[in-house]
Amino acid sequence: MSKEFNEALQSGLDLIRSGGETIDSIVARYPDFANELREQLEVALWLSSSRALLDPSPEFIASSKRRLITKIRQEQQATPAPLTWGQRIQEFFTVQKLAPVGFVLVLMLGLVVSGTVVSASQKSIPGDNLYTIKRTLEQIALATSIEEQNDAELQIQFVENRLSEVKALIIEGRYDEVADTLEDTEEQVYDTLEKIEVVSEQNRFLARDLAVQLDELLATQRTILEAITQNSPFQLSFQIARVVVVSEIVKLTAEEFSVFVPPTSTPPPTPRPTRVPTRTPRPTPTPAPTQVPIQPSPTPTTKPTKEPVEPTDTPVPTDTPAPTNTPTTVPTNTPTTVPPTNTPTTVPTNTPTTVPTNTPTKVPTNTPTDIPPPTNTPQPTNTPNPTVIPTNTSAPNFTPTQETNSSPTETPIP
Amino acid sequence: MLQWHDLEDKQLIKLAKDGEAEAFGELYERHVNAVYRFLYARLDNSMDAEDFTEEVFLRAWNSVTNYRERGVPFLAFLLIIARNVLIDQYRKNGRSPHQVTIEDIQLKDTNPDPSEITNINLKRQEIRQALGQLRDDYQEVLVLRFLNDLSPNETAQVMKRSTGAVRVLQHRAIVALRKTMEEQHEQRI
Repeated sequence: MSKEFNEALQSGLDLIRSGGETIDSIVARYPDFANELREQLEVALWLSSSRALLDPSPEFIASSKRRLITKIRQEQQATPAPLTWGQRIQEFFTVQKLAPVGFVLVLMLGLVVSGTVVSASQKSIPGDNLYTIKRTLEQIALATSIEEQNDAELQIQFVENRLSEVKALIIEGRYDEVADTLEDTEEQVYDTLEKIEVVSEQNRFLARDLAVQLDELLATQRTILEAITQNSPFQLSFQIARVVVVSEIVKLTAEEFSVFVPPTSTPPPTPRPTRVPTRTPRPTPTPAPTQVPIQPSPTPTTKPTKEPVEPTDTPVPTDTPAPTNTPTTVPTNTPTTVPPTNTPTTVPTNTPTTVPTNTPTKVPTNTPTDIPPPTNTPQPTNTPNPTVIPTNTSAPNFTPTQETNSSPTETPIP
Repeated sequence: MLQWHDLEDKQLIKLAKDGEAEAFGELYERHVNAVYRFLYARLDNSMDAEDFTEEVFLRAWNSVTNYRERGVPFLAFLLIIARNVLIDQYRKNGRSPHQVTIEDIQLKDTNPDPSEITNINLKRQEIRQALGQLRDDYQEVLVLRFLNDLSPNETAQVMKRSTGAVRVLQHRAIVALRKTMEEQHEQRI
């Protein structure tokens, strides 16, 4: 089945259908496969000419078209029109985006509403709709508190809340709720006392402070309550009396704690001893003198060359202006006696207080350079009194440094 | 006023994608004959051909939004659907068209329709009987190529074969059909 044969068959069919050619004329053009081409053309033309025999009837076409359009419109009414890709994407984003946005909006609204409710409930008093929320929040705060001390502090806060509510109720003339609130106050005070007792087992000083705090709170309200009692009904005055009684108990408790735990002695002993030692050790290590004598011996050989740099880097010499002044004038005179006498009086007092750590390390390095000349003389015996002196003599360091080049060389010789 | 007849297939398809049922009705009118011929040549009777023709166009309407021309004419798109409808039908009934016997055709197609008594109907019956003797792929390629006048390339798209394979298949199908017709002619004599 060659490609040429197929092309001959296709072109022959087209030419014959158009009416310009016949089977014989087409076959005559392709003598190589004339017989096979004739057979194929005859069958193909027979099928093509029979095409109309297999067409549907015009009645079916018309009725079928009506049914088809009717079905399409019914489907369109039942379901929305088919969406394009753009519409689908748009729909996807609108649905998918609105969901989280809506969720966030609802969440924010919930937070705002809940925050508003919580803040509003704090101002509520017994009989208000939000008062239950206020008391529930108090219980939650108490339940979530970890330490006994915090529990006691919260209990004191709640006692203050109850007393404030009593005053607010009296102002509004709601005496029925006043009696109940006074009863709650009494219970709240007892609960607080129990909690303070628990705290006292761990820390009596803290318990004393809490008891005093509660007593001060009740003391300020006690006079007000007593004044109210005179003009209030019996039932209310009875409740007020109970609160006054419990406040007296609080007062006694606070006094007992104060007796057993004096207020003055307690605070300083525990905290300060721990802090002071940490600081004081530093002055003691300052014994620059102890380090000074040790270093002079090794330094003459090696350190003189390296360490002279350090004194200039460190701020010590700059902090003590006095030394800097003396070198400028003294150099000419100092070599033997003058510097030691001047420096000991002033410098020693400064070094231990301000720069204790720096001075010991740097001064010794300098002193060896200075000391060489004294080594020739028995002057070291004079210096022992101002043992600190050598440390401060850092000032002279500058002047001797120039001389060190010569003096060390001299010392080894003897 | 908009005249559907003046529009090309591309324009009608675009309107149909936008939900215009009348535009799709115009496409139906243009291609219903080819679809019907394809089905009728391979089914037992005209009633099934009519039902399946409507089924083909309903499926085409529901999937017209997915239609992209890309070298596939709308008629080829319809005939691919028609081929799938036939395959579904064969799977449902557990039989294929080449299993359709001449007896089946004669029994079922000798309906009381008076028009089929005429000579035209006899010729129609002759064609269908001849095609019914052929293999499925022979019937398909002959119907597509010579009854629906599709090009070898379009036929290859519908049949999901290469153009070369379609040419070879077409040649063998013609030879087989000629042989069948000769046998039928000898039987009549």
